[in-house]
Order: sequence, then C-alpha cells, then structure tokens
Amino acid sequence: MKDREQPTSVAGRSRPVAVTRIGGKRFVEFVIAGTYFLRKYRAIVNDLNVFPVPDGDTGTNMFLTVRAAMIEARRCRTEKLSAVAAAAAQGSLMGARGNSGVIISQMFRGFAHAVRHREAIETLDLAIAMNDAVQAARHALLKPVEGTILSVAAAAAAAAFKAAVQESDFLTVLHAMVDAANEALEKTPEQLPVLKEAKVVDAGGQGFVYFLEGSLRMLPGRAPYTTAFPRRPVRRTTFTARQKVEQHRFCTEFVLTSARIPDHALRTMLAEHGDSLIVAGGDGALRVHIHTDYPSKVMDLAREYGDVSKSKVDNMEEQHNVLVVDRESKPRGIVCVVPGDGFAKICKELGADVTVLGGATMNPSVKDLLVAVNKVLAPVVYLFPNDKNVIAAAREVQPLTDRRVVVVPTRSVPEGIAALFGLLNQPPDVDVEQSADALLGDSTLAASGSIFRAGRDATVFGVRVGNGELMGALEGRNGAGDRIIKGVDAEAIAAAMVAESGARDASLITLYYGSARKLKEADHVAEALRQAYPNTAVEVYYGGQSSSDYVISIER
Amino acid sequence: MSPVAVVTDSTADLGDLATSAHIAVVPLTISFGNEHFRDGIDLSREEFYKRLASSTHPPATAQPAPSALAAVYTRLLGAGASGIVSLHLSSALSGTYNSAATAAREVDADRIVVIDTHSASLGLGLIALQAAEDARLGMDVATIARRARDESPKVQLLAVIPTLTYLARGGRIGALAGLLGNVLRIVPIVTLKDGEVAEYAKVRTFTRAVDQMVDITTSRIQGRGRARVAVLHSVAPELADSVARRIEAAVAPALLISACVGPTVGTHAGPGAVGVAFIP
Repeated sequence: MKDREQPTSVAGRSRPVAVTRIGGKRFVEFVIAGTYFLRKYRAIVNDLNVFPVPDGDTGTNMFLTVRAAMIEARRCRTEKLSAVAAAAAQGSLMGARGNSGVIISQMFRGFAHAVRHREAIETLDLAIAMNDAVQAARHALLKPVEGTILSVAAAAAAAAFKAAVQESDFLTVLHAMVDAANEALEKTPEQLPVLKEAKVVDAGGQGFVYFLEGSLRMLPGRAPYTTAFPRRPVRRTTFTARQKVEQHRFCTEFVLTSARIPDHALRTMLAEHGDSLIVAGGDGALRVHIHTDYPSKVMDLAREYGDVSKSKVDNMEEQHNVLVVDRESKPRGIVCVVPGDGFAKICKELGADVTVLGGATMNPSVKDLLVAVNKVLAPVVYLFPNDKNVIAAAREVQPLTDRRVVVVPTRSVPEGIAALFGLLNQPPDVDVEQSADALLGDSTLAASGSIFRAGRDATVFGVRVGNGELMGALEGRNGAGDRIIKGVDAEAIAAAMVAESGARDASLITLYYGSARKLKEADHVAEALRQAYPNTAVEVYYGGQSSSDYVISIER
Repeated sequence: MSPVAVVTDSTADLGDLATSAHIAVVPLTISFGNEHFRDGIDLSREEFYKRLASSTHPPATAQPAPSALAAVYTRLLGAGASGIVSLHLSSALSGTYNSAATAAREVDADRIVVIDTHSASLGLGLIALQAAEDARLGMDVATIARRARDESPKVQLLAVIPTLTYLARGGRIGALAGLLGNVLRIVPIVTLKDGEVAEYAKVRTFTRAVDQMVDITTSRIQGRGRARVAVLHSVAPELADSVARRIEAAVAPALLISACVGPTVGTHAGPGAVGVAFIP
C-alpha cells in the first residue's frame, strides 16, 4: 500500500513520526479525539435518525456513550492498553444510551477482550481487535440489521485487515478504515429502505464514522482541524407516516448488576416483551435496551436475577411527535428583527421561527439576517425588518441564500406585529409575490410611535428638544406625518400621541414597555389612556427594548 | 294530501321557534356526572351554563335512542303525516344521525328520509326551518329532502369564543392549542370544518374579533333581503342583539333569528360566546 494516495492534508509534508504501536496513553487520546469529534457533529447525527425509531437522539446517545468510555479510560493513569481498554469498555457499558450507544459499548467490550493481555498493539492487532469488536456487537443483538452501524463498522474492520497485512503505520490503516466506513455508510440507504425513503444515511453509522474520523486526527501528520471534512449530510425530507413509531411505545434501558443470569438467557427471556432488544455486557453487569409497552414488567422480570439500576424510560411516541410537529411540511417560515426580548417572545408566539435582536441603536448586519434566514426550515422565508434602518439590509439577503426571501418592509415593531397577524390569517397557498405588499396594505395599524429621552440637544421635525428631555415620536402609516410630541410626562405624551395620530376609530392601543421601565409605570400610562379613550381597549405588554421607554401601537 | 312532517334534534337550538314552525324536536341526553337530563326539557339553557361553569368535568351528551326517534316517527305518521324529513347534527359530531337512520328503517323506510346536514346548532336549525316552510307550502318528501341536501353545504358558521378553557377541557382544541397561555391575549374566530372546530382567524381583543366576524358575515352575503341568518350566543343576549342589529342594518336578511345555543356547542364554547350561522 505504499503507492496509496495520501490524504490531502498531509500531501507534500513529511510525516514526523510513523506510529506503529499503540499503548494505553495513545488509546485514551484516540477515544478523547473521537468523543470530541462526535460531540461536534452530534446534531447532524440526530438529524439523520430515522431508524429504528425516528426520535432524533442517536447523535446525543452515541456521544454520551463514548464520553462515558472516555471518562473511565482517562482515569486509568497507566501505559497498559489492556487496563485502559477495559476501563473504557466498563465506562461505555454503564453509560450506554440508546440502541447505537449500546452497540458502541459492545464494540468497546469486544475490543477490550481482544487486547486483554496486551500492553500495546500493532496494526494487525488493531485489525483483529476491531473484528472482535464487531462480532461482539453482532452477538448482543437479537436480530442484527444490515445498513446500520454494524455494516459500517464491519466494513471498517475488514479494511483494517487488508491494510494491516502490509502496513505498520496506524495512520495508513486508520485512513483505510475511515474510507471504507464512509463507503459503507453511503450504501446504507440501499440496504435499509426506510433510510432511502428519508434520503439519509444511517445515523448510527454516521456517528461511528465521526468517531473514527476524530480518532484519526490524533495521529501525527494529521491536521487536527479541517474545513473540508466532514461533508454535512442534509435531511431533505421530513418524517413520513411509515416511519412512525411501531407498536412499542417506551424505549427502556437499565443495567442489571450482580446478574445471576447469562446474557443469552436474559435475551431469550425478554425477547417476547418487545423489540429492538439488546442485552450486552458480562461479568455480572448486563446492559439492557428494549422497546416495549411494559417497561416496569420488563424490569421486574430482570430484577429476579440481579439489581436493576440506571434505568431510563423514554416515551418514543412523544419524542417522535415533537420532531414531526417541528418538521412537518412547513411551506413558509418567519424571521423577525426585534428590539427587545419581550418582543421576541411575542413574535415567536405569532409564528416567528427565528428572531434577531436589533433596533434603533444596534442594527443587525446582512450576515446576521442571513444566518437567521438559513436557520428556518422552509423554502419561503418572510423577513420582517421592523425598523426603517434595517429594510435595506434585509433586501440584501436574497442573493445570498437558496431560500426564497420575502421582505415585508415593516418600519417599526408595531407595524411588524400587525403584519404578522395578517400573515397568520392568510391562507398558506397565497401568492408569495403579492403577499408582502398586501400584508402592509391590509394592516390594521393606524399609527405607531415611541416615547424616549433625547440623547442630545437637537431640533427634530421643527421641534427643539433638550438633552435628556422626554418626548414622543409618532409615525403615521407609510412614513407619513412623522411628528415629535412633547409633554410633561409619559402619560401626557402618550395621550397626545393618540390624539395627534388622528385615529378616532382606534379600537386597540398597545403599550410595550422597555427594559428601563416597570409594569407598574406602564400601567399608569395605560390607565391615563383608558380615561382619555374610554371606548378603546388599552393593553400593556413587556417589550424589553432599551432604545425607548415605551413603544405605542394604535390600531383600528 | 296531508303535509310532510319535519323532525330534528335538540342540537338545532331552535327552542320556541321549533314549536311555532311545527318542527318535532327529539332531545339528546346531557349528563353531568351521574345526573342525566333531556336537553331543553329537563334542563334550561341558563341552568346548563350554570352547571357547566361550576363542574370540573365537561358534561357528556348522548344521542337519542333509536326507539325514542321511532316513537316520534310513529306518532307523526299516525297523526296523518304523509311523510317525514328528519334532519340531524353532523354525523362527525354525534351518533344522532345513525340513531335516526336506524329508527327510520324500523318504522317506514319509504316515507321517512333522514339527512345528515353536516352542520350543528342553528346551522342545522336554519335548514330545519327551511324544510318546515317547504312542508307548509305542500312540497313532497323527495322535494323537501333534495332542497335540504342542497342547502346543507351552503351553511356557514363563525363564532368568537372569549376563553379557550372549555375547548381545551373538552379535548376539541386541536389546532388552537397554540393559543393557550399566549402573552398577547389573542381571540380566535372559529368555524366548523369537516365537523371539527377550526380556527378561521386570530384577532386581538374579543370586541375586535366580534367586529371582524360581523364584517366577514356581511361581506359574504351578497344582495340585501335574501340571506338567512341566525345569531347564536351562549348566555350573552345583549351582545347577540347588537350583532343581529348590525347584520340587519348591513344586509337586511330575509330571515334573522337569534337563540341561545345548547350543550353541543356550548360545552366547548363556554358562556359568553357569540356566533353567526348563515346561508348567504
């Protein structure tokens, strides 16, 4: 394999040292590197999770499992590989979570068993140990399924053998393993129809590849960071009805310690009570994973043969539903720029998927808006700038994203909130091209404004204001009739603003108070408005903006 | 030839209007815990809402037994009716239609036509009133039934519900669940879609929602003096009156009635709601 193409990251560089032996310390480093790599990409793995149950936690489960292995392995301060590998196996067994977590823990166990008499290993030993690891994982499953982490790990183990026969450098061998694992991963949709339907590769397999990739990065000559890898698998479809949780509702896991029953006997005993059954481990500690309708019955059965601990029961239907609700065919998404956390909450309740903090003194950049738009899982994204100084930036987003961006040119948050109601009440199949203008045109907003303290002496719209003086700025619809209104206090200014707005038929005035004001103070202002306009509803909400004391919205 | 008789169930919410239109009304049973009442007979509307507000569990409604319907059919035919048109609440909401169909087969399948109106409350009521009017004019069973079936899909129902508590309690909240516990006090305008409560629009403040409901209603009614409109309320007669007056002023409907709704709608709407059923 001398003529093997080298990975691009080391091309043209001389490798400092070839690693030909791996002892306890290096093994710990491998596990740490793999764990951190998996941690980094666990969300991607979660996204891929459709088999056996589409509950979106495979990445998290695998990460927590290898982390448990890492913690135990780290504790052993020894050069002896056998001791470190045994500790990792024990740690992963106790910390295993989920289907793929248990499978990983079995691999650690098989690996540890293979190196149980070794202080250090060479590449061929690694290949043998990897094959034992895969065998151990297969053995723990009642019905091993191809197109999963098992196939991916098996491919990696086979590649390790092929490479190790001629190669003593771990870098080359591991590299061959990663290549083979990736290749096998790409084939998983062909092996498992449910993956093909969802247009994803197997989540557990992907998690395994990430772990291996991370480990590879510990070797000298490998760049610890990369920008080219890994490619990000993208889920293109949502869950379908066929991927629904089958008959068993509870994912049940526990550890049976002081077990007086061998693993195969426990497996046979529990098999009839559910599916996706895994019984793993040995030496008196068995980890059980089963999907069942009767978690307590299963645990009671096990309890007759040992002590049940670390039990965890998840309602998979609920987990699944959360995901499905989140991701169900959503034709359009909404991004709102808001000047405070109160407004963020309100906009989210009105359907905003993402909010961006911005406003008068801290306009978000085009990049901020782009990131927000790209976070939305919908082909069409409505963008509400909610500030006249953000509209231009909002219009720059479209060429930078593959989503269709509809900028609703709202000049203030009240205008944005009124338009959000319009969007909420629009049928979802409305013509996108026309809807942005219609949202503003049909808005119930009559006028809006804010009450704040002047930052300096100035003349605004012909009105002289002094530094620190309280004043109101009123905006009519479409920017018409911007005015500055002065008064003795917020109550007087608010009442004058409503009078000046000319909205005699106003049915609703909303007062959003800023982060520097209190609800009690806002209530005072609202009460003054109620007295002045007894036929108009006046509501008070927390806006959280720092740029003004109050934002006022006057609606028909 | 003696006229055709029209039968409906108590969910049509017609009250005294049924008596004056000579419509026979078969009651559903309402149960608060272990207490059972015949809707509109043993339990007045006011009493129903009083109990609804004070009980922790939603009341259950039960369809009339086929025998109860059969007894009514037998009595009407015995009194000389040439046939019967029996109009009922949406089969998606209740088994009343099934009971009626069973009873009709037992009594006289040839002379009794049972119709699922896919509607509820005064939506059903409006169709029943139309059928009664047709019967008074001497139309035969087949004609009245055909006209009723033609009318059914035209009925539109809108309502504004002041609190979502009762919808949530009855398990019918569905798509409106997101509005529970909202910061902004959003009031939904609801409608009946495939027999289920569905959101029509979200509006801030109850008053504005009622205004908007009136606007939608009048905009959907084309031409003055033709539409038939029923204003429904759950013990909010003044509000219903004001809604009726505004509709009267805007479109002068051919028929404009107002009534307090019973348990089928009231259980989910709770007291204080107002709505409109209309055939434009």
